[in-house]
Amino acid sequence: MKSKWIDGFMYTVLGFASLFFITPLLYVVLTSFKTENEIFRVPQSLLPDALYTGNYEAIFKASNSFLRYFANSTIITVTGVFIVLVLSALAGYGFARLPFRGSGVMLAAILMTITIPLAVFLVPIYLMEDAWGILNTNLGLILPNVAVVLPFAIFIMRANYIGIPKELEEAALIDGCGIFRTWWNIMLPLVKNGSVIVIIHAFYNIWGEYTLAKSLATKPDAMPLTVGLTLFKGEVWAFGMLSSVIVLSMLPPIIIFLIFQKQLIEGISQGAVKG
Amino acid sequence: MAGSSVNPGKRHGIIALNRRRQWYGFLFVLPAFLFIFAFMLYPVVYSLYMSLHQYNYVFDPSPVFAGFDNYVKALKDPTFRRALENTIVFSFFYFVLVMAVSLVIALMLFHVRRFQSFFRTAIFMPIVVPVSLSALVFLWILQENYGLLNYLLRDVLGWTALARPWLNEGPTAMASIIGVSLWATIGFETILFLGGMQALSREMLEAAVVDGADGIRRIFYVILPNLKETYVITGIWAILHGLKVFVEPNVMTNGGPGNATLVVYQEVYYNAFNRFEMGYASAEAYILAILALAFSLLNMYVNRAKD
Amino acid sequence: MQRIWRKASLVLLTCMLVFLAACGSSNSKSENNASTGSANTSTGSGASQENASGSGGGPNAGSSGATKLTVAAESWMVEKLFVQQAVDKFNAAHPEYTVELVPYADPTVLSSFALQWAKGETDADVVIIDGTSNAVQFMARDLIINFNETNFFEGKTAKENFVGNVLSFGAYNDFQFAIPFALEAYAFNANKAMFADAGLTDANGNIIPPANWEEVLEYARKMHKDGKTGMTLQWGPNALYTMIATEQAARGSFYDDEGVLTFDTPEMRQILEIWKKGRDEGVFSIDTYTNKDAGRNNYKAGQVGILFESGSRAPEAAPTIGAENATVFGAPGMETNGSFAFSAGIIVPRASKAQDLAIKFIQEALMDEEVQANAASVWGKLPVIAEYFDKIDAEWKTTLYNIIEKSVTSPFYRDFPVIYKETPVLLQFYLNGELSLDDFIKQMEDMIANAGKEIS
Repeated sequence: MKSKWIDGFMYTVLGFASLFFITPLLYVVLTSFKTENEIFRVPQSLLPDALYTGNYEAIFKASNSFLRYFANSTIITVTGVFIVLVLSALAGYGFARLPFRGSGVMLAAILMTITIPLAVFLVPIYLMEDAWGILNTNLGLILPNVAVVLPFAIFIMRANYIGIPKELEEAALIDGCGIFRTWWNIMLPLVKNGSVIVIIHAFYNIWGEYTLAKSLATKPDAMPLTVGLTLFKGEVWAFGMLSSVIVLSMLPPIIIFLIFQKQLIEGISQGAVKG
Repeated sequence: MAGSSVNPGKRHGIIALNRRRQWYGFLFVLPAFLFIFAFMLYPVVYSLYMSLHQYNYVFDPSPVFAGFDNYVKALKDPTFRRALENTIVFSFFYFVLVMAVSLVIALMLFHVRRFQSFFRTAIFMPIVVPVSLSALVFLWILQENYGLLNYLLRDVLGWTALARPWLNEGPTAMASIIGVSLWATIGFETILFLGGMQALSREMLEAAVVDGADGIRRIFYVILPNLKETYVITGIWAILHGLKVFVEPNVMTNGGPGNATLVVYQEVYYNAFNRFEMGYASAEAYILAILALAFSLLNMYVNRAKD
Repeated sequence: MQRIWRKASLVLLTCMLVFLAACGSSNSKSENNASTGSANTSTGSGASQENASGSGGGPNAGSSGATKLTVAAESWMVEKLFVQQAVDKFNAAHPEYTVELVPYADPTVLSSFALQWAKGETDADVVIIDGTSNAVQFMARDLIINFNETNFFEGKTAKENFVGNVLSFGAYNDFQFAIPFALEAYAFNANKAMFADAGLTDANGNIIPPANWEEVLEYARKMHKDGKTGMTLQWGPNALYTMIATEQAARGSFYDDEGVLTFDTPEMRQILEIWKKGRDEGVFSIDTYTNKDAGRNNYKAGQVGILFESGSRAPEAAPTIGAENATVFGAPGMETNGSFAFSAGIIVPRASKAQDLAIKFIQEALMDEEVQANAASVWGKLPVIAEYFDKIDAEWKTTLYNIIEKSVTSPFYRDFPVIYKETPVLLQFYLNGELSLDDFIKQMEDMIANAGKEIS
């Protein structure tokens, strides 16, 4: 009996939480189909009078570079996520299981780089990329994004390796596996869980990154979606236009999520160690 | 800190193997370390160098060494102090709320069986929208006249007394900013917590059930004490997000009303890009970084203390 | 499942090795750079001066042959200032040239431009920036050309053809660092329907302008009803502009006898007391405290009787509140003393290889009558050439022309950003009752006194 009460309570709370998170987004979707007159109406109506598509048309009419921005964002994000995943899977293991002299200092140094506000890095990064000749290229955005996202990804992976019982690793070592083989054969499959979280973390940060992109990609050809879409901003954001921009930039991640939903959920929920 | 995982039971282990493990550890860490420092070394050194100099990159011919003058000046400046105060207030409430709410949601998601994927999708959804854009949406939602929130309060629920100019009064402006940050980030923190819970071994959870620890008791005696590594991760993330908050106040209140929501990062940005005072801005940034580093290490220490 | 995982890991490993190699080399590069980079910054300004003197032989040096021109404009200008139309027209009229328009997202990109220009390179030959005062930084480093040294002010664009003294918006001493483009002046944007509703119109349905600020407050009180706001003043991030516009209108200047910005005048004290009264009563709304566009949006939504900020808000709101309801009139004194005005600025970097063509483009395309008249009719961004006003067909045209002709722009102080940022904070403290009027004025005066004023 008691647990039924608790269950009911949980479903109610989760229901309200879902409502809290999803209402603003639904509102944005609805607003993207409203005309300016409807948006400014007081009191407002939640549903649009008719399915007005002018906000979307304006985006595709104003620029045929939408696909270009989209391609840039995709290349930057996919490559970036991939590099973050590989490097953090390696480094996380090193920090968690193979401590060496100075590893603590190294970890603190890595942590330090993400405590400093990015704003004071913009000028030096610009100068550096200019010297390397990679301004306005996808590579020029991949590199700093990875450097910014990687430290935290290492922390996530590290925590995951620490969570694995030591017996497994020791058994493998006794079986004569080398350290690298142990990592490869035994440990790596066990941190799928963490990898999925690293992927989400890296994707979330790189896909939505704006500060670096706006100062390092000043030519439309090199702009990712976040910066490219702000070109649709008027002198101030018109809410209808803003809404359609948000819907468009939300769609790709949502589609990816739906396609890989099974793998992602599996990844999060199947990490439990079977022994 | 990483020393905690050295296995004390292996005292008799061959020293050579230990050496080899150390060497491998270094090799495993090296690529990531090189990557980060190839990219961050110059920016870090540059900004640290600048923070010790007086340099306006538009009007000054070259940087002039100033020792810790910039730091002293910042700590004496009432505006900076106000910003620091606001940042700490924001971070405190943000940290407590984001940790508590995300943990509770994660526990519930871990527990419930039905509608799992609906709840997950709804709660994780905000993370696909960049904060710079969601802050703009909330700017509209919180407007006094045509905003959604006041519309819901006034016209749908009939609670007219609650409708107010949310962003134009100090306390509600700060609360709104905290609320928007929570909306945007609880999803990600929940994923982190959930990941930590699902990494708990199944035997441990099942054993608990056999022992008669079910429901609430299982949570307090089995799940929560075993999430230490997860607290480290979520804690660091929340501390960094809190202290480095920028987009939300910058977009939604511009630091106002008065300077009730002005945060340190805004001061850094303003001094670097509106006044071009690179030296001063860097010093402010390093004061914030020192705070963030200190709190992050404290968080690690507290969660490891009982090991 | 296991297999896929292994395969994936294999791919990961290969890539990892590649990156290991790449990282090694990029690391050594970065160290090199760290040393040369900091050397650069210390000599940065010296280098830029050399550059400047290098091209100082005149903007015409080596640029006569250029046929390609890149124009950079903030994204909103493409449409609202009809820059796209200007480019298209120019391209059609001159098949021998190719002009390309590149929008940029926000003003912080200017710092990237500055870094480029300091090295004598540029991606853009003509840059349009929001607010001429933002170009002062480039002039200080001698990165942009002086239009007085070119043949720009010949023919149709001769100095005497510009409205009032708008050229001074982009000039410092004898240095014309920017050509103003798309004028705006602070004025009262009015919702005529709300005026009529409150009985504030004459027999012909025209607004009876209030003679002084006491009357303005009275008007606001009358229109403040049914959930609608009587008046909104720009008290947010742009509060400084509201204050100097008000003072310019009230006493014909916002400088003291020594030519320093001041608000310690009897006129301002009196007006500030009325502002406080209006704020306390709630008829002057605080919408703009944290969001400079709140008044503009509320006005567009038909919720505000008078909106005191850029006079371009009325034309812009015509589609939502009706052209017959959107009108502009001067704050007390503006008809005789003018207001605060500002404009976008067109600049040409010294690093440009196509300076001649740039001048030609600005003269022909951006100073084009149709382009400027369109920007005015649709968005209220007014022409800089006086006779183009004839082309505009709107009620507010004469009012705004009369105001703008006498208007002045904000001072070019080195620490202007400080004054700009601190003013709204102090003003809001005063209006909220946290500072007395005397303390407010005193703190303003102290702040102004401490701000650096010299540019070079």
